[in-house]
Amino acid sequence: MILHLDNGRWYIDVRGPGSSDQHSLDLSLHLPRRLTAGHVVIVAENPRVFLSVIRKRWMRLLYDVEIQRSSTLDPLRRESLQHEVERMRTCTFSAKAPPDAPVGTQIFVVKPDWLTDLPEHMTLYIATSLTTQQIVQAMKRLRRGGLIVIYGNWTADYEILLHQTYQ
Amino acid sequence: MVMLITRPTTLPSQVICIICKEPVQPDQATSGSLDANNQQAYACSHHLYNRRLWVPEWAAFEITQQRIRSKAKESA
Repeated sequence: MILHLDNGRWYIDVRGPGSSDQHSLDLSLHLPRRLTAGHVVIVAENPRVFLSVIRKRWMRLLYDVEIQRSSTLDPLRRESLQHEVERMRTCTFSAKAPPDAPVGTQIFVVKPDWLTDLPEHMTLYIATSLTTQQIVQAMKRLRRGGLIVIYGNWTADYEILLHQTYQ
Repeated sequence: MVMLITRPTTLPSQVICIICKEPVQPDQATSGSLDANNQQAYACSHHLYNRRLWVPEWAAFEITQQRIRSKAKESA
């Protein structure tokens, strides 16, 4: 569900409650769509475990895209899927806080208490509960026109998002 | 996933799904890539889990938007 569209500073998608398995599936399917927009930050309780799950799903998706590419004869479809394969193959992830993450990292998976050193980003996935203060911290480096995707229930702590979106 | 949030918002009544090209209500849509004008593009939420549709349609959309961007740059 989209909460806010063009009139605000950011876009907010709320994906609602679900198991962590559902969240990781949803995220790994959605993530490739955000790679061209800019850096991506994923806030998760256990970044290493979450990244490991995402990577596995990513590799499965990549394999599926490669099969789709080899089975199409349509030139535009083939070219776009080839592009997709290259982008997915070269995408770099890190489960470290940005100062320690390798140079060129595109996707940062961080803990809620690592939000002070985030790079500028265009997409913020919130896959764990955050306090109002942590949300404010994460949004400091979210660029205008960026997207926030929230997994789980909307809580009172998220009200600040609505306030800041229209500030 | 079903979203159960109800709150007053300033949402427009509909957005266009880039996959089925049909108008869709925001509570049944999801944000995807940016278009050639760096505006947010959308698709119906239910397409997300159909990877045989979701992936190639967005990939084609992105490459088309990239070409539009390049053409605009060339002509500028």
